[in-house]
Amino acid sequence: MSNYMGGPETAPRPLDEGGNALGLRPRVTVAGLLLGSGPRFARDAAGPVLVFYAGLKLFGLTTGIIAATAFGVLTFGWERRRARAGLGAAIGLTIALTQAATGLATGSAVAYFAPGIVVNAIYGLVFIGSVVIGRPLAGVFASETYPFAPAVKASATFRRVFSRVSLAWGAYLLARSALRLLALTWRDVDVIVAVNIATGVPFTAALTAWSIWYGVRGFRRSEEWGWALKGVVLMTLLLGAVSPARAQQAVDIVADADRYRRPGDSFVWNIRITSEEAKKTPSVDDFQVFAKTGGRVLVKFVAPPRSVGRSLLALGRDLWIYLPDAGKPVRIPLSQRLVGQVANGDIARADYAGDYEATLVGDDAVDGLACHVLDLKAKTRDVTYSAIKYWVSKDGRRPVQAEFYAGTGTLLKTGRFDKFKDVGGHPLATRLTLTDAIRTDRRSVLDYGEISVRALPDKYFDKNYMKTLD
Amino acid sequence: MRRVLAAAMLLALATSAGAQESEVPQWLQPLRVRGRLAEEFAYRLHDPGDVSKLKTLGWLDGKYTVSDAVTLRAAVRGWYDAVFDATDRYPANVEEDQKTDVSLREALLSVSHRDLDVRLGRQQIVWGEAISTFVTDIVNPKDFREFVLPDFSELRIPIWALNATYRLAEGVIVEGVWTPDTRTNKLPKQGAEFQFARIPYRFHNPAVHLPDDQDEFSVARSEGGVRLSVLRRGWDISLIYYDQADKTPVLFQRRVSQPPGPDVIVLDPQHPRLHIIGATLGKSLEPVVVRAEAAYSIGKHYETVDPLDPDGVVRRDTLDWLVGVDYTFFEKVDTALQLSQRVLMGSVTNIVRPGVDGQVTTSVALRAATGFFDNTLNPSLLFVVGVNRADYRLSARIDYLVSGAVTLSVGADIFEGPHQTLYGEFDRNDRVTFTTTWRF
Repeated sequence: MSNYMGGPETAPRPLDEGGNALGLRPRVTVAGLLLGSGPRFARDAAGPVLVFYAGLKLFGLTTGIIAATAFGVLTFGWERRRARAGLGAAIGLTIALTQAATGLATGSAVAYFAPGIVVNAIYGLVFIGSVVIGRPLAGVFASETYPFAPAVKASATFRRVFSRVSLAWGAYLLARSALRLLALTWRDVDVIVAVNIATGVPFTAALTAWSIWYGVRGFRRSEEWGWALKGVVLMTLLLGAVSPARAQQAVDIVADADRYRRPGDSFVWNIRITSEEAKKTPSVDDFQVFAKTGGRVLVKFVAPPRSVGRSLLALGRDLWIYLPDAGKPVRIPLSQRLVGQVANGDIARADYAGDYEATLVGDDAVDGLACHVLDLKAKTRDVTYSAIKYWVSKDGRRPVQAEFYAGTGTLLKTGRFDKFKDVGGHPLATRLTLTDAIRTDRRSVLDYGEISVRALPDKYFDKNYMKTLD
Repeated sequence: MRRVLAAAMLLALATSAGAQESEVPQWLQPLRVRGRLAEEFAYRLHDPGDVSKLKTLGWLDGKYTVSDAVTLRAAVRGWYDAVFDATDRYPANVEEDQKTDVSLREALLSVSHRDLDVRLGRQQIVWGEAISTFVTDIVNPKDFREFVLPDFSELRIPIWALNATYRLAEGVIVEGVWTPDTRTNKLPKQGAEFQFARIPYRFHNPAVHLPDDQDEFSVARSEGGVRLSVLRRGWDISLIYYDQADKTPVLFQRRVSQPPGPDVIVLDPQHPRLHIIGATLGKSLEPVVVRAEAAYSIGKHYETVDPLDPDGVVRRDTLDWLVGVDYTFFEKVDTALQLSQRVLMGSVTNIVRPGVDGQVTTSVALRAATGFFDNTLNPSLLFVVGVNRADYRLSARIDYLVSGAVTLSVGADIFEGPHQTLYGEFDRNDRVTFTTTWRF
């Protein structure tokens, strides 16, 4: 990392497409963050309860339930249309649906509130549990509110700050559940709603304000990122916007590198995945990959016997798995794990140029090989990774290595491309090694074997045909 | 005799598999053979706690690729359940029905020409998007002798049918099915482990229950339907129409006078004709996958215990629908949450049938699965609760992949709830299971 946009060796400085350190486009202030996200928090915390109460008092239980559920659905839809994960709204919707089912089945306004208390307590435990497993949930919510760069989300500061915030929220939610449970024993809807609101909106607002203040302060005071926050305006002025020519160059580099991972327009490729872990016997899975233009890929599971009969179909970013036990193709997400460290998208999609916005952020040398360094950001949510940091050799534009990030900013795994071979006059990377970011002894080696470049019928890439190909 | 046949079949499985490994002649090279053997053990937890299954199963399936356009497939399954020899808990009719089984699971000729694919023979035809439910999975009858606990590919009873699909355009498929095979659902006999609760009739007159023995094949009563599937911008939508006889018998009543004695009530199982209109939807909204299904059954009938009803049966057109979401937590735990409802069009007073708890019967299902140690240890959980009367099923299982070919599974199936509910009727059938599977 010797020549990474001139940054000091001691501190990583990933830059986003606007050239801002930390990927921060707006200036970071507590007031700005509160005004940006505060109303959303308040809406998710109090909205469904108030709507239910109004409906209950004005028209009756069923209307209250339907109105509160509709509020949850609309809020979730609103968030989705704004391309946010809508995690708060999604949780609100889940609670609202569970409450609706309970309320309608029992016909009791008191029972309507019971699932919310249980979910609240579970929610608190999940906050605390997320800290235990090292992936603080507050960080996920923070990422909804603010566009952190992947490297920031993978940093120790991020984990430390949001672990403390998560613990605070966990404790609050558990305490609130206990109080709401106590109120439920009164069996008086007015009391239940009053306790719900009193322990909800004010505390949520205060805790939200504290979380943001503490988060910003934590980053400002950190040695790791403090410099970036202080220098954000200067960095923006110095680097300016990415020029169109530079942006096109980045796209060309990624498209050229993609060619090393795709032998032709229509081909069949045998892939062996060896999953390794310290002190364990490696496991081997064999696949036969049928690929055609237009992002159409069919993956047949060839070995071991327990997997034989399964197949995976990718049409662009849509993915199905055929399971003999189910007897039909089942829709699955690209990000789901296939085997070892390999996600479905790792073998079903080889189109980084089509799936990601590329930004050329600097130069680097990998084992003495001069490389371009690119930040790839997912164009849509429907791809395997939210972001990739990609090293491509300057000579020949071959893929060299990559870091793959989740939407939360967590570094999931690293990848290394090698064993380049000439296949029918076409140079290809015939080995990809994926290593887990945390447990580095866990890795999966994808060896690309025999290739047959031939015209494949379109029907091979129809989900209704998957069983026939078994 | 059937036991001998089952043993012979299993022997044949092993012999055929062994033959595959040696040098094969040219004409046999397009033949692909695979199979599996399993030993399933179940122990009933409630009094009287005892072994409830000790089943040895074998599957063998082969595919012969004649050319790129023509393939032949055949699959057989056989089992022997030693529990009927090891215990004397089950009556003779159950033993006869469930002790051994040899069945042809597939016998299929597939012919492909450009955008047309035709499959003729014994097969499973599976429609629908959702997992662990039958809302639009309507073509094949089901084998409920072990309730809904086996894999769905085991629950479906294959039928002889003609199935053709034609690709109208990119992402647009039309499929037609026709079958003279009018087999019905296989229900457990009286006294079986998972025998369904009987309808609580209160007759003052003597009653006679006629057998459900109509012919399995009939061109006159043949069934069929069409499905139109469209995939556009990731939205996977299909529309379904299917015409079939109700796979579950409905007990029609009639009075037969037998002077000088009292009238006799004759319970006559019939399979009224159903017209099913349905739709399915699947869409990936990364990282969430959304599925939905709906099926409206016109002509659905239910038994009523209303003593004044002339034939003891009422028609209630029925809407079954579900919506579900799949999400993977922490990039590790795959979960699926599904809400489903059965809505009867009309009053449900006096209708007594498991799975119908009101005019609207709601159930929620949660499925979670994950993997440890590079997915060699795979726990999974299925929790289905009937919201109306709080009956539920909780099935937990841990699969351990000993090798690429051998899997050990330990599991438990717990049922709770009031009697006369879908899961509550089995609340004394809680069990633990242990299964070993070898695939080749």
